[in-house]
Amino acid sequence: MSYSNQELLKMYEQMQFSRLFEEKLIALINEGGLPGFYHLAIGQEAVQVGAVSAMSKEDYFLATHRSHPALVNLLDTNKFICELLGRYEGYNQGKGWEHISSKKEKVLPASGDLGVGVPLAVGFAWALKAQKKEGVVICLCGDGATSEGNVHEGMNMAALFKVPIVFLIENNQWAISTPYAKQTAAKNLSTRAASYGMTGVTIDGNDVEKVRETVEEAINKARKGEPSVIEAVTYRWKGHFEGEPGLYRNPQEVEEAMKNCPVKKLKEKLMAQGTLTVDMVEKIDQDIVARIKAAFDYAAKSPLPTEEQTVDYKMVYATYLGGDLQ
Amino acid sequence: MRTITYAQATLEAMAEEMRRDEKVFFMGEDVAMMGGAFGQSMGLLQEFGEERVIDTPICESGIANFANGAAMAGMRPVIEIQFADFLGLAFDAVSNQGPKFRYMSGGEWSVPVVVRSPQGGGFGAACQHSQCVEAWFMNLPGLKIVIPTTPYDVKGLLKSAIRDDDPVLFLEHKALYAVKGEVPTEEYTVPLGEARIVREGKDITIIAIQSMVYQAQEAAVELEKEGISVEIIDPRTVIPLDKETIFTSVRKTGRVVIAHEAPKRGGVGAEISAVITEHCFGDLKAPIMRIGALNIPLPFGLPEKYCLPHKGRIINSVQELING
Repeated sequence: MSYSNQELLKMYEQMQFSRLFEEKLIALINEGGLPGFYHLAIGQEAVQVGAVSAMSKEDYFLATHRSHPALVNLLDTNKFICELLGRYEGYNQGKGWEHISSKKEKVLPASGDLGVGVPLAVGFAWALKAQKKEGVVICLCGDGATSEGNVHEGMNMAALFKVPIVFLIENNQWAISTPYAKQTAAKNLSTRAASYGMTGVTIDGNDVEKVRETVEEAINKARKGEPSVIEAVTYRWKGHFEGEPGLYRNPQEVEEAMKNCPVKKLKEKLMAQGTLTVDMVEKIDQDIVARIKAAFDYAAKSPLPTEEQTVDYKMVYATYLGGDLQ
Repeated sequence: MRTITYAQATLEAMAEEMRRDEKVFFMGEDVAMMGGAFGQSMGLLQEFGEERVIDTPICESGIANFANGAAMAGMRPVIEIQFADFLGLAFDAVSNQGPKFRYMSGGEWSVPVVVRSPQGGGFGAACQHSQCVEAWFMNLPGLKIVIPTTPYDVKGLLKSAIRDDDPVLFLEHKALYAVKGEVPTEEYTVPLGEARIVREGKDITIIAIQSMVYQAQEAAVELEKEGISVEIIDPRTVIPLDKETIFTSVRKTGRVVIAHEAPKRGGVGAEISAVITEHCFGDLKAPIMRIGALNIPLPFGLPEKYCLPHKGRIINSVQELING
């Protein structure tokens, strides 16, 4: 399938938005201005941007801890950055942080425990179908998480119950310090689909058009009750989180992988065909940088949760009928 | 009033709630075609069909996470973990996922899941089919824990649990499934968080959980012959805990025995004892006594009785506290 110039430009902008956002995060981390650990997806933008581009407005996205490319493009920038900075105005009152979620924007929370999201997303997607709602769930999962039992249990139930879901495995080849070859003897991760009676495919995760096209097909199948697995192969450029130096891997391997930059690849293609000019590239970057700066400035002024907003038992329990819940 | 069994009472609660709210569905291992390992869901499949009464593969963790997701999408799942001992396999989903999503999303999601699971001994089914597990889950914010004792309570509490917007761990006692009791045919619920005063007395308070309520009642009859007046309280839910009912009783009697079938060490009795000490220390005339299972994996068969608490140990503890 070929996409229109307008569609391609949009995907370029979305990838670049994530890239520049994460570069801003790096700058802030280096200045010592950010709390917590930020798991960056620099170099992996095509996987999630391809997926987000394929989604319709009724579809849901289940995030992981490494989901900025999807989140920056699915969420309101101010509210997203407020959440990342732990502000009460954020999507989750600053309580979710990278486990951000939003009913309105159809983003399901990333658990702190790997693999848990898979059966959760399967249950969510099943419930959409049970309630005769249209949506499909795009269930993101890293290569590391696929070794979890929950992933097996969830995929098995999805196929068995004909759940409208797409399992998108973002294989960045590193589970913290453990390379793919030490995670599994399986040649690729999509072959696992066959054992559940699903189809599975392994694709180049740095080719945003290929990702989008494959996810679109998978969504169409999912709507008919045919879940499937896509393994999108990419590479984690940075440490497990920003600041983690990644001393366990060969710098040459990283350098080699960085030559295969998904953003650069699309940019060069668009410039070669005249869809994108040097001026446009600059303009796009300026707009994105301004937008990110405005959101960070906004979030910096937004108040942190107070003690009352933190010690809020109404947020712990929804129903109070009697007895002591505290 | 008519009498039905504890198992029938759970079945009625399920059927009534599934008729009332079409978002309620039931899933678990062998719950549909077989009607549950103890027959406690017999007939639900026939009435509600396979879209709402669902047999699952054997995957406790997957089932429990699936239920969390379905609840977040607007359904009201009731799941069954066939034996409470298997909750270890679903521990993360039941304790660390469902109960956290409301808070960590700033109220964006609530997770109205009921996790039903039969616990307890009495069948000599050895150490991985016999335990009482409520204490495993006590140290976790966001979860509610129900421990029903009578047919009346199990029905009313299960209906409340299904209507509750929070995740509820609903631990039935499998040795009580055959116990009969009065249950009205009219609609009623029992709210989570209200203890039941099983028997009024003035000399000593026995706080008892599930099977121990029945043991305590038998003990009270014998102790009465010795002139000891026993008050028995069944907390019915351990989260939320009805502290006021407990404190009122303790202030009256000044003596407390806490009895549960789970091991004494780290059991719910330790928490209740601590709460009483914090609030009613001046009212206590004697140390609080706790009775629980021995710290031994439950053995197969009849020797189980050497490890589990029973009426005799309750009587001995009461006598010790009264007579000094």
